[in-house]
This record gives sequence, C-alpha cells and structure tokens, in this order.
Amino acid sequence: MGRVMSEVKHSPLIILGSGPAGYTAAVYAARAGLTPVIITGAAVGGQLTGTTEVDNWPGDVDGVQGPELMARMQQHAERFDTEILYDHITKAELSSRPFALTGDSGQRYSADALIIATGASAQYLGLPSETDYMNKGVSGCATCDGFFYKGGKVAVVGGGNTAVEEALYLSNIASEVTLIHRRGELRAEKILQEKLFTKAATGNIKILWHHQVEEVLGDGKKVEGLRLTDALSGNAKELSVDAVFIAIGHKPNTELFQNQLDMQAGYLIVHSGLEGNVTQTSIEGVFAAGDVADHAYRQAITSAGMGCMAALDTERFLSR
Amino acid sequence: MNIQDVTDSSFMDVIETAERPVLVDVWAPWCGPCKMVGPAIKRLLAKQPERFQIAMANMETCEGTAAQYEIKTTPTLLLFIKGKEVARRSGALMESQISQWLDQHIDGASDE
Repeated sequence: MGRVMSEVKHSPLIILGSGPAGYTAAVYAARAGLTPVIITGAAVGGQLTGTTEVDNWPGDVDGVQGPELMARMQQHAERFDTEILYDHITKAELSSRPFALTGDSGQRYSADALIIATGASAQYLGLPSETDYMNKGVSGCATCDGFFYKGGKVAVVGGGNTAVEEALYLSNIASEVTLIHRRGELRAEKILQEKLFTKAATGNIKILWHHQVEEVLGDGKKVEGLRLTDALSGNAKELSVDAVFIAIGHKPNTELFQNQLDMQAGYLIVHSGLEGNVTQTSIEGVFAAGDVADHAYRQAITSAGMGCMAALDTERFLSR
Repeated sequence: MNIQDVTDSSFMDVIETAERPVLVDVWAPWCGPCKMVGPAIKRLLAKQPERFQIAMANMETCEGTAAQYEIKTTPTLLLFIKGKEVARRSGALMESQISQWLDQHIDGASDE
C-alpha cells in the first residue's frame, strides 16, 4: 500500500537468477534474438561469489576466482544485450499467460517464457542461538566474512566440499581453524580431503570428528564459543571461537513456486529424457536450470550446461 | 553532499558534522549482496533526498571503523542521527525492508 503502481514491463523471456545457469541461459537466448531480461535476485552472482578458487572450470588452466568468473559471465551476457535488472521477485503467478511476476522494488513484470535459475541457498543448523548470533560471528560464507576474523579462532561446521574449502580458505586468515563434523569421514572430493589432512598434520587446522553443535555461545553482541556434544560418548564440551561458519549444505530457492510447479524435496522437477525439452517444468513455457532443479551434481559447469539447454528449449517453445 | 565515500580518516568527521541522518553502507568489492543493497539505498534516497544522506564505507579503506563498530559482515547498514548510532542491519536486504527499517528509526517519518 502507498506504493505507486508501476506499469508492467513485458519481455519475451525473463531469466530469474544470476549464477552460471542464469548467465549462460542469457548468452544463448540473446544470441537467438530472444532479448532476454535477467532479474538477478538478492544474491547477485549466485553461490560462486562466495567462493575463492574454482579449479575445475574447463579452460581456466590455472584456476579462476569465483567472483571473477561470475563478473566475466555477467559481462558476456551484457555483450549480447541482455538487460540485467537488480531486483528480487517476491511473487510469481504462473497459472495464466503471460506469466506475471512482482519484484521487491514494486515493479511488475510479465513474460511469455520463464527460465528459473534461482539456485540454492546455504542451509543453517536451525538453533535459536545460531539465529541470535547471525552476522555477529555466525556466517554462511567464509569468503564474505572471513576477513573480519584475521588472526582469530574460527570453526567450520560440515563435511562436504564447501566445508573443506572454507576451512582451507580460513586457515590462511585465522590463527586456528576447527572443522566440526558429525560423522567420522568427509563427503568432500578426495583432492580437497588430501589438502585438508596435510594442513591438519602440519598447519593450523584441527578436525573434530563425531561432534555436533548444540549451542552458539556469546556475550549477546558477538560469538565467543560453541557448546558441542561428542556423538559417540555423549560428552559435552566447549570450544572457544570468534566465529562459526556453517557449511552443512544447501536448500533450493523454490518457495515462490510452491503449489504452482511440481517439486521433489523442494527441487523443481524437469522433464528430462531423450526427446528434448529436457528443462521444462510442470508448466509449459516455464523452464528450470541449475541447482534449483539439481540435487545431484550442483557444479558451475553443470548449471551452465543446463542454462544453455533451458535457453534452447525456450527458443523452440517461443518459435512455435 | 547526499552520497559520499568515506574512509577511516573521514568517517567520524562525516558522521559528526552531518545535518541529516547518515545511512552508512559498509560494503566490500568481493561481496555479491552489496551490489543489491547499494543501489537500493540510493533509490530510496532519490525518492526522499531531504530525509537522509548516504556514506559509502568500503571495507578496504574502513577496516579500522569496522573493527571499532564490531562489524562482522558485509553488507551492514548503520544509521547515525546527530552523530550517534541508532540502528543497524546486516545482510542481503531488499529495498522494501530497508525502507521500513528507516521509517522505524528516522523521527517524523512521513510516507509520501
């Protein structure tokens, strides 16, 4: 209320999201003459902007920094006249055509086709104390916030690639890094595990196996430690840290499409198969690409590949 | 001036001499959500240019200020009125959230 109703901005194709899937879809769609519009979402550049070295992007022989890769993808999309809008969609109506979207800015949009590449967001432990100390020492992004803990003691919670990457990254900034994992083995890639174990043997990383975080402790203004339990013995202990980085996985950003598109465990279901139109969701003209529709692979390159497929599927749909 | 860049050396001066409330945006070049929050506060200012002013604090030149104010994440917004911090919010906030937050903390808020 009280907001001036703006005119609806119509585009043949709107792409939601600005990670590898969104930008790749834009490059392909723009070259096909679909004059796509990207609506970036609040997390501009997606998950890769919160990473450091990306060592498995083909062609970047010596690795590339995540934020730099995303800046380049954005420039690539812009080179082909993709319009990039810094807005965050808060409402989507997919039951009528054209599809209708409303942004946080108040702007309303409509599109003949939609590519959903909204990705996934970091998951948290769900502890009340974790919420209390969010941005006061609890963080979901080591590369964003690690800077603030130079020379300090930090903990990373998790056992996958993200957790190990964050622990390695933080070990160059903090005086001491403790990796806390609830199991006795890691899910991370072998090459990352080896780096971690080397650093644990010779450097400033400690690994606490079979431990779970029960509570984030602090003075009300900042994190001072963690209360942990040993999953094997049931014993409780406290660990003194200045910050804790949560890296226990991701959840797909699909709340907008609840009860509108078919999902499985929150992920958008796409057609798949051998007949083409692989990236179509349960509504014709609505396509999905990247982590929002992929629980298994979740790589920059697979997201980019899926973004390309979604653009090609869209081109066929719009030319009918 | 309505929008200015501040550094550790100019921060206090800007805060203390401002005639209007100062909205400080602590940001960093490596921070994705900062690219959303920065333009959002500038749009809000454009709608109500008399209401407040903006100080952009790049972490690379405001490390001391960030430490002094115990800032632990970017983006962080700090609101100063008459030289005193009256409120702060962190994270990837959207324009409407920032607008409501400003309404709560700037006296005599009017919804035009």
